[in-house]
Amino acid sequence: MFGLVDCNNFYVSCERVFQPRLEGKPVVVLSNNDGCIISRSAEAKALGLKMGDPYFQVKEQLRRDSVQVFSSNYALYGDMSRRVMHYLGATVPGVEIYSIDEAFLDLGGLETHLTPYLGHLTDLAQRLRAGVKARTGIPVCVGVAPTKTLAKLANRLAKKDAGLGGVLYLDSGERRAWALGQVAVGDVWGVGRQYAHKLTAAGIDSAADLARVSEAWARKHLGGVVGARLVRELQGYPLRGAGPERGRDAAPAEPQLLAHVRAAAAGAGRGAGGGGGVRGAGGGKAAPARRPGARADGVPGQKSVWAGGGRAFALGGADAAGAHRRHAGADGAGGAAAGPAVGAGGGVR
Amino acid sequence: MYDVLLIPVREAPMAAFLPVFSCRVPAGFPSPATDELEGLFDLNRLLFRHPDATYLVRVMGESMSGAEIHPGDLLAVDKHLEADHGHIVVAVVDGDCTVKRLERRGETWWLVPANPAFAPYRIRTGEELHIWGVVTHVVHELVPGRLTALLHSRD
Repeated sequence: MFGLVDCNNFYVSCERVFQPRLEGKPVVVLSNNDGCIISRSAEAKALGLKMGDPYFQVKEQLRRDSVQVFSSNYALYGDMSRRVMHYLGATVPGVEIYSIDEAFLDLGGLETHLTPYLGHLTDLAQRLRAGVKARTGIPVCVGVAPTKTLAKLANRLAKKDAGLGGVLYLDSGERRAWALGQVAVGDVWGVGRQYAHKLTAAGIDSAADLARVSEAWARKHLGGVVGARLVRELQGYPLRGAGPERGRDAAPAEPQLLAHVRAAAAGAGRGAGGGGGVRGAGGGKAAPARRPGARADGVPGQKSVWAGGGRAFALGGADAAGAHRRHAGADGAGGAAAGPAVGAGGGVR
Repeated sequence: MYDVLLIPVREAPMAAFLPVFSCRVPAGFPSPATDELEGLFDLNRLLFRHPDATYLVRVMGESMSGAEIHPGDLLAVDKHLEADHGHIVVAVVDGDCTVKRLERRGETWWLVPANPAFAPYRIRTGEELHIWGVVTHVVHELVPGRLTALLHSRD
């Protein structure tokens, strides 16, 4: 089983994390040297702005519609991407980083062996989604399916249909058939523009149509074995990425992984809280109920860390009042015998 | 919070372990240090409890000076920690990020500055309060200059 995690409007989302006031407003990010539009918020898409629109052509419209325009900041996007991928890598058995904002997850064996700990794969996907959001503030969608091509397709639908809550798991034949019918053939992963024309000309309009063609036909008209594989993938037989699939039975047996997965399952309640913040302060009822869970989950809160710091450095007592800090630091530096450790402690309260 | 400044943190091949001395250094009187060594300590493990979710931000303004958070200080902000009463948080108010202490007074929540010159902010009923992250540590330079130099030497 494969998952595909794809960040929504990744570059725009990165900018929004640090400028929350852009939430709900049209935003675009431009390519190098402000050449063309390479990322659009949902609001910008609604204004009819297209991917790849040259900046100089749409400049006037951007100004008129007060669209926020950003030059690309790849150092920022790279850092946020690293955080997302690192989290995913620490949470599921295998991750294949496919692009700066996309990663395939190898979920092989999880459902068979670990359902008691992880729940349905939809729940796992929801937790991943909440986890990425809590750590980075970036919204993602997750598609889960037996093949990479179908996972891509599921992700596409999860993005389009807000009612799905950002996750689509094609767990049954009926669901797969339904999903295939939703997607135009040109939007299938691996079908380029040329092939899309060719296929529509041949009366193959949707992914479902493509999944029905014979292997011989695919070999003849879709570039040989590559086309045949594509069709097999759409039918739900995993061929692409045999690599991550190998050894999938061995992977979940590692005790370390099991422990990790249990921890993830224990954290499920928190994930469902979403956002990772206190929301709707007026209510105030949901928040206290969640807190004990958070504590038990190995997030002991600030106090223990402070206490640890006090023990290690003990500059004027563990709870040194703010006013004492400067003196304490100065003394630490003065007491030369204490050396570099205290020096460092003085700097970091 | 508006100018995002990325500070490349070198992938440390080896954690920078420093020895921790078990003697305490009293404020006011330097005392002769014992040479007992308690163990090795890596400051990164203190600052980055959740490395994926911790962001370093610099402080602007004086509103938290009573909590020893001064302009130019570096804050470690954990986006993953659940905010609770008493935490110092980065909150989003009207689209702007601000550092304040989160307090619960009866049924209402407040964002409280640590400086009498600033007024506490009461979170209105029904208003969606967005907590950007919880401030876990403050890095305050007692010998100034090094932090700024490090930030500017990144090019």
